[in-house]
Amino acid sequence: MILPQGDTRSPERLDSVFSALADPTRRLIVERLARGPLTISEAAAGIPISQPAISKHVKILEQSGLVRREVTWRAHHLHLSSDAMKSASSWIERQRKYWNAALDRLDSYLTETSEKEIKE
Amino acid sequence: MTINELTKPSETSLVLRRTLNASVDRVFNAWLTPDAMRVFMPGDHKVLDLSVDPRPGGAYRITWDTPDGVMTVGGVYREIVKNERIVCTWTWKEDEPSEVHESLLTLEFHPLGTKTELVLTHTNLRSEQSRDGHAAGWSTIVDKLGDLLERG
Repeated sequence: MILPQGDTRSPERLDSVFSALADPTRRLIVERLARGPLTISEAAAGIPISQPAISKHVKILEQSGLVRREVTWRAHHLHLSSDAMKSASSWIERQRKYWNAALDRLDSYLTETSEKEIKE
Repeated sequence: MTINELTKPSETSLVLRRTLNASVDRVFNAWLTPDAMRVFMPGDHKVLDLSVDPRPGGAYRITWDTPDGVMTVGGVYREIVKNERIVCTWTWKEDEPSEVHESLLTLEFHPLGTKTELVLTHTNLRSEQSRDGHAAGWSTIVDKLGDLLERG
């Protein structure tokens, strides 16, 4: 069985994107940023963990490339950066296509064999 | 196309150079004329209020509406030398008096034929992060100044 190829161009990046997303706090921050740029405190509002812990989560998101920080004058904003998310979603998309095709083949195999059974 | 040349000589200082296609007279005046300042000082934000008393010892004050709320900066002109130099303090209004921090802004104007080199030096900023934030802010403002002066 040949499995679909991974993203050979940037495997380390995919690793860091998926591990950044493997945490509920970080996923929540990403979900909030999907609606537009936020300050760190807005992005973390209502999350019951300490400020240093939030900073750590933000740093992990920045290192993965999912989030970038922009500062103007005194204000810090977090923005979602689409490239890292695209590499993750295109990886998932490739797997989805593979499994769709494989399941379609299984489906037609099962239909064929059951038709044969009926005939016999 | 001319672009801003930004250097960061230290953790708390920045220098931005830009050659503008306008006479030294126009570039110098733009920095002290409220009507012009209202056009280019917004950078990326909306200016809510602006007052300028352009003489040594006079004060200025600019209030922006930003996604982080209203921010006000003010200061006092230390030196105004026509078509050469403007030196002023630059202090953000803070909720906590203990957080008030005064930095120093120097604008120098060098005529280059029909053009003018603007050298903006901002020193004694609070931190490296503050320096980078101001670098981003000044870049948008100087871009807007270029648009204003080079358009008309």
